[in-house]
Amino acid sequence: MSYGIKLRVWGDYALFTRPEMKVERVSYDVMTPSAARGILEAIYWKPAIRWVIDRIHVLKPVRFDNIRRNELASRVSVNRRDMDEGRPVCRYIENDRQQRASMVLRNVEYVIEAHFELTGSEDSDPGKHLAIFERRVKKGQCFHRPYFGCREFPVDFAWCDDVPGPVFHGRRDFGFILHDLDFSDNMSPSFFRAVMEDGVIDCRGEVVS
Amino acid sequence: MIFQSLISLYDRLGEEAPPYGFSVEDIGFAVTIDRQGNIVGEPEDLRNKINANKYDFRQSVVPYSNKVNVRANAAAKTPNFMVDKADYLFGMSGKSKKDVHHRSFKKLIDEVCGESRDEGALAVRAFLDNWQPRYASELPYWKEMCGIHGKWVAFRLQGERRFIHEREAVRRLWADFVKIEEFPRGISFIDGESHDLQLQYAQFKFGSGASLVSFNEKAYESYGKKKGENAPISVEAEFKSSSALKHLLRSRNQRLRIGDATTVFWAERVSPVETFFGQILNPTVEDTGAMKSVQKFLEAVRQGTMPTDIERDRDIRFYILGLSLNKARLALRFWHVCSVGELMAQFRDHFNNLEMERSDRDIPFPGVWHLLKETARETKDISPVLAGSLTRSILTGGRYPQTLFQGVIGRIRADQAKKHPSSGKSISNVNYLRAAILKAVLQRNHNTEVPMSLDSERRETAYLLGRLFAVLEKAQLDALGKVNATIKDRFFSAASATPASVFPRLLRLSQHHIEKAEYGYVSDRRISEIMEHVDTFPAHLNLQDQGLFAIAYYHQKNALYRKNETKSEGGE
Repeated sequence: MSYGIKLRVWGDYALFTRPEMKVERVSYDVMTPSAARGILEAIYWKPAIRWVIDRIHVLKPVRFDNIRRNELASRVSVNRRDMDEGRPVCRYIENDRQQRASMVLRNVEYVIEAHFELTGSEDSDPGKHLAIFERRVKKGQCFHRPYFGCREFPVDFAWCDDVPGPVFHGRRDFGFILHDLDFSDNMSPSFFRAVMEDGVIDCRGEVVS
Repeated sequence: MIFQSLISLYDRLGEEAPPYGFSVEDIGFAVTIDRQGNIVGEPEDLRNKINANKYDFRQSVVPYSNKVNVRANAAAKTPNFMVDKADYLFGMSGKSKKDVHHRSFKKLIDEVCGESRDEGALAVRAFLDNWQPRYASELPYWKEMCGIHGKWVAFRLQGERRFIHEREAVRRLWADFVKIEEFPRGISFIDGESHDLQLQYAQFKFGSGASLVSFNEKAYESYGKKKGENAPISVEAEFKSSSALKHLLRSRNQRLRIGDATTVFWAERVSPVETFFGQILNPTVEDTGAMKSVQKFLEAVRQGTMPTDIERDRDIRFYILGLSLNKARLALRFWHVCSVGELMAQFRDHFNNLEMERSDRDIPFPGVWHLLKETARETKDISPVLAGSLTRSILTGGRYPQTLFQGVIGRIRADQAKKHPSSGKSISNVNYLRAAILKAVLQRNHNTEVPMSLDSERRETAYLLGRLFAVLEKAQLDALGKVNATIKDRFFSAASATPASVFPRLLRLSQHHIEKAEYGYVSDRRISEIMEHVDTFPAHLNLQDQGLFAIAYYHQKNALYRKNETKSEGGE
């Protein structure tokens, strides 16, 4: 049993980082299904359900822009040795700064078509989950602010009944893009061929990993 | 995207690109040895000095692996095969010993050559067996060989032209050797299929070497994956794409610099557009022949026609890749794919926007660099970000960056009283290129139609005021001849920003000029022609109107100047 929803999302910037260019980040041309899943989960998610992205409608032309940001080069290490030796668990940006360039998307807008599947028999009233999700979207509630690939690029969202007409016509092939990560199998990535037909990317096709 | 296109470029290049395990590298010196491994004669200097700090090197297809390009930490133990820096060949660098380098170099050669009876390989091995590092400093050119412009040193067998590493047998030895190397298997992100994976991406010659793909800090790794695991790519795909990119970066006419970005471009198949493209964006003034043909080509494009050989290529894809250096990594500045037909349409649109009346000395189709120079006092002040975004707007037909407009307006204000340093003659602050840029931005970003020369029917206040200002300046010049500070020098920026506070005063002043000048009534008539349509002087003009003001000033001045010329009074 599955229950479909449509969510309209938009924002000024987006950065769906390509794995091969994730240091000097370069965005994919369109939103990846895993980014869409992240947005839905930010609004409503429970262990009882699992979001699956069906289609992504692209409503704005693909435009890029370049920005640079100051970031940290290393992570705060919290391994055993640091704790035993009592090293402070912190990093100082002054000593560890890295300026990184990004090629980001500008002025994006999508409609996410998705459904959720129940993960078990517990808490398995789909009508309830659907109603909660709808109520939360309409009130603008979220667990944390959903974002387009980077926390700096927040998502505005709204409930969507009818998908606006497409701005794209014909077929466009974006090549292999990330579908999602398999967290149960050593976080291995899976990819799918993103083909946009009249502004719609169907994410339900074949996935390779 | 980028990788796939580069791979198809590699496949297209065929013989021009090196096969797997090889790379085109710079050779600085060649050492000739005989069959017993003794050095014969002096090392040969293969460099060609271009200027104080720049050399042209002999290029050669050398055995190569990705390990060599990142040998920072384990440098001594990662030698290249047969050809390398002097440290490895001779075990010395300047006056310091490099034993480990030398030994590892020798070891690799032993390993690769095995039982081979090839003359070249045997000679090199004999040389390495006999060689004593302490002889090194007695070699002619020793200092240069170890210097930063020394590059790599190659062996040459006595009596042969080619290098030893170019011998058929030696190449085969290496090709067989790299074949047996083992790689982990996994899914490549390029085609989603299982391949041998390359964990070390190639580096490119940008400064000391930079990678397009690298994960050199902890924060860049995701989900606990190390280095290349973050973006698994097959050995073949990595080699093909990096070779193709190396080829482009080395090429002379498929590469150009825009701001701080090195831009390379290529078409799906061989096309004359590949050679034209660089000339269009960045015309080289020295090469007049090429410039002429490009101008002719652009003239045709402007009229909407295309030479038949390019018309034929209308539908092929064209790729443009802009890279800039950011901390030993290459950052993508722009990536644009379009068809040749679309590209030509964008150029037509761009140059139509820029079209402005000009003298014969001015460049008819200014390149990106020409435009950028008008936004800053010195070339080093030009914003690299602006360079990238301007190029992108030209290629995509998107809006021009607003900073371009602001930059030009700023220069016009700052240069209002600029004098030629030696002759002391005043330099026009609104020149052809500045007027053209203002016009282009107004047309594309603000949907304001702007003519390319004087439009005396135009009734917009900003336009009229620009014209009026030029006429008032002329009236002053007619009356006083040479003046130290003209009204332009003093009032241009104030007049264009806050007309109400300047123009009444200037008009009053102009009455004196009219009285004094021999043909004052001409100026009087011109002023009244314009003033007829001005109702009020606005307190402020916004930035957009200031642009129009400057364009009108340029137009009117040209019109006045042309009349002068027919009366042969000379001008400016």
